[in-house]
Amino acid sequence: MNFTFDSELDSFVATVSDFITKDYSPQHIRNAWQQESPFSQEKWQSMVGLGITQMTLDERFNGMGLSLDEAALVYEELAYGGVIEPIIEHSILVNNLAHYFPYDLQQLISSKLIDSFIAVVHPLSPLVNHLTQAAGLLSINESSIIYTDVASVSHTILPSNDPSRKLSRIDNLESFQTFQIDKNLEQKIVSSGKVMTAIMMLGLSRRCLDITSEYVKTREQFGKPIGSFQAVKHMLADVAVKIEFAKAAVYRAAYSINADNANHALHANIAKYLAAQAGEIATKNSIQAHGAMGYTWEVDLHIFMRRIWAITSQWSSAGALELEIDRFLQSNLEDLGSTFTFREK
Amino acid sequence: MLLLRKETQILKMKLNYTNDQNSFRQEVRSWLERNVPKKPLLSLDTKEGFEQHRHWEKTLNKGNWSMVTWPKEYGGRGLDLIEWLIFEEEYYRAKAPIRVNQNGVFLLGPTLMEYGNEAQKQRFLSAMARGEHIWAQGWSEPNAGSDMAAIRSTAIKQGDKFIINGQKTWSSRASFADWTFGLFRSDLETSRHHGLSFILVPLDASGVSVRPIPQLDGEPGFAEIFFDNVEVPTDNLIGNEGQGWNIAMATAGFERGLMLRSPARFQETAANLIKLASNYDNLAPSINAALIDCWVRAEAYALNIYQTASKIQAGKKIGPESSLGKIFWSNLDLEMHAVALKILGTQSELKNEEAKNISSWIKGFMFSLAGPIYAGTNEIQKNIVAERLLGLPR
Repeated sequence: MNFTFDSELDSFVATVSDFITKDYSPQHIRNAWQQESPFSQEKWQSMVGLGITQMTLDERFNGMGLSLDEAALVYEELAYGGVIEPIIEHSILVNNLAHYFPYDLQQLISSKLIDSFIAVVHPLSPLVNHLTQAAGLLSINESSIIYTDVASVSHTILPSNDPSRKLSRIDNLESFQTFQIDKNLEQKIVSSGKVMTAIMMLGLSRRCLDITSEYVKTREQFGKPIGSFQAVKHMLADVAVKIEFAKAAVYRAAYSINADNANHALHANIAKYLAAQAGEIATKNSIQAHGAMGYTWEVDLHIFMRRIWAITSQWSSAGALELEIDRFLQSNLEDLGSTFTFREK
Repeated sequence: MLLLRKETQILKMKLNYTNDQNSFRQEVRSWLERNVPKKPLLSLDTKEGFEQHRHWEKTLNKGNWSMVTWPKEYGGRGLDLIEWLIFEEEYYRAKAPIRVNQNGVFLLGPTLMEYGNEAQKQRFLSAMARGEHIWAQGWSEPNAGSDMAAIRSTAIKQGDKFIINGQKTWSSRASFADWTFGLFRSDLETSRHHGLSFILVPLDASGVSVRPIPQLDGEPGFAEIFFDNVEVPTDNLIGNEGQGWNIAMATAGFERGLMLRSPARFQETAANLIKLASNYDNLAPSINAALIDCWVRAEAYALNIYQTASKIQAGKKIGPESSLGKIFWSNLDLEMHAVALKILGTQSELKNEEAKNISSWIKGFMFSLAGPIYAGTNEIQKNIVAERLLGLPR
């Protein structure tokens, strides 16, 4: 039993954190919003250069072969930066799982895993972000993965409340190849989608809290910083508590995916449930602590709040998570209790 | 620049138990199966119940289970925090009695381990493990509650003695305990956090009087302690004179952070809550949602504590983060019991001993109301989080 991250991973996180600070400012995001497509090939290549896409990619594809828990902190940091390009999605939904894909599919996409972006669509995440920038589309359902060149996809662009997201509804696939998969792989993809959203929630919630903490230290009313008032302190402490107690659950769920834990679906549900709660209170209390400033386009807070609101129901809504957790509890009543958490089936 | 270096050797996270840990669990389980009293003990806040619980502490000690993380020479087993968590999981699973000496083994024990001298460790840790010294806390005073640095009780050094005067209150277990540990002002020239000393006082010393205070459940779970020229040898000073505040904060850190409330307790409550609800048809969706929320939070707490324990074992210190935990578990405990009472409906007020599965919830609810107050109110914890973790101004 060892629930710590190796300190070797700290330097990866620090490198990414440095990249966010220097190359991925909120001003960059605002500038990108002015472009026809906010997806920046230059930023994508910078992140590829940092090795992001190789982290969870298996060694057979020239990746580093880290498991998702080992890479989680790096993705969390990218989410903290509000990166527009779907590199977290590509890395977690495609690269971390590519070696589980049917062999013929592996052959088809292997040259695109490190440098390009492969999009994923699934009934639980039916709108595709930045499809026009993708080198391919994987349409996943319970029994198959369908691969399509983006040129063969007819789609309709739909506006998002988050200008960083460029969503497409898939209307038709003109030519495609179908690969049969078993239910286990599909479940692993769904769990990955939930854990991915949870990891992003952690990073984004931390960003909202940091922005707000800085704001209340400098904004003065009644002759002092509003951060010295207990009403404000307690509001932000409540956010810190929710974030802190989502973290371990998220990292455990990330661990369970590559460790083939029989309960990975439950772990992913718990992770996303807690992280979505953290995101909800982080946005609510951050905007409140900012007062009317939080309600403006000018203050950077909304860049990150919008992302939280946009992704919170990806890969299952809060209600669906509750139903699934409830179903698990009802069918495992006798196993619950103090020895449940790390029990091996 | 390429972030990744293939030659990097990562120390893997590993979220399952070793064979040794599994066999340790079996050892704990089978000992508890043989030794946990079949008939529940009386309340530890009655004279008779207190002695029953003291007897249980002695039984634990005979099996070397007083505190598994302590070194063997003090009655422990020299095990690590993961094994302590396993022990606690089995302990709550077996429905073993509440630890009457939790102030001692979970709070003073770790403090002595860090700040006590060898003679003090020899004298107090073993007696604590054997159940001979049951400890009460001596922090709060009538005018020093959340503002603990306002302590006025004094301990003035005269030769090889301290002369103690003043009053402590809300002292848990003091009604029947043998000793108290607490903070006293030893330097009258200084104020606030300075000039305080951490001193151990026997409650049968001349000049000590104890006035039990009935709690919400009617039983004297805490007491006031009055000190009237009480003489205590300077050997009872922990650490240095004037260092008391820092030592007390370390003790409070153990209390909030890890030791006082192991996850097992809440996981058992959460499981009991889910099982309770499964006996009722047609629960409102809001109740169902609250149940799930409680269970998930208990799981989140367990995961967080395993991570914290792993961090401590890897040599990291826990600081103000412990305040996050205290806020989290105290609210969870309260909510679990509140939901149970809603499910029980008109039955919820019943205190009948023969239907413990019902009456334990109202009793637990009464106890859980104290959670957001003791070990530093949650409002103070939130101030600590805001100021020390988020950097907000005082």
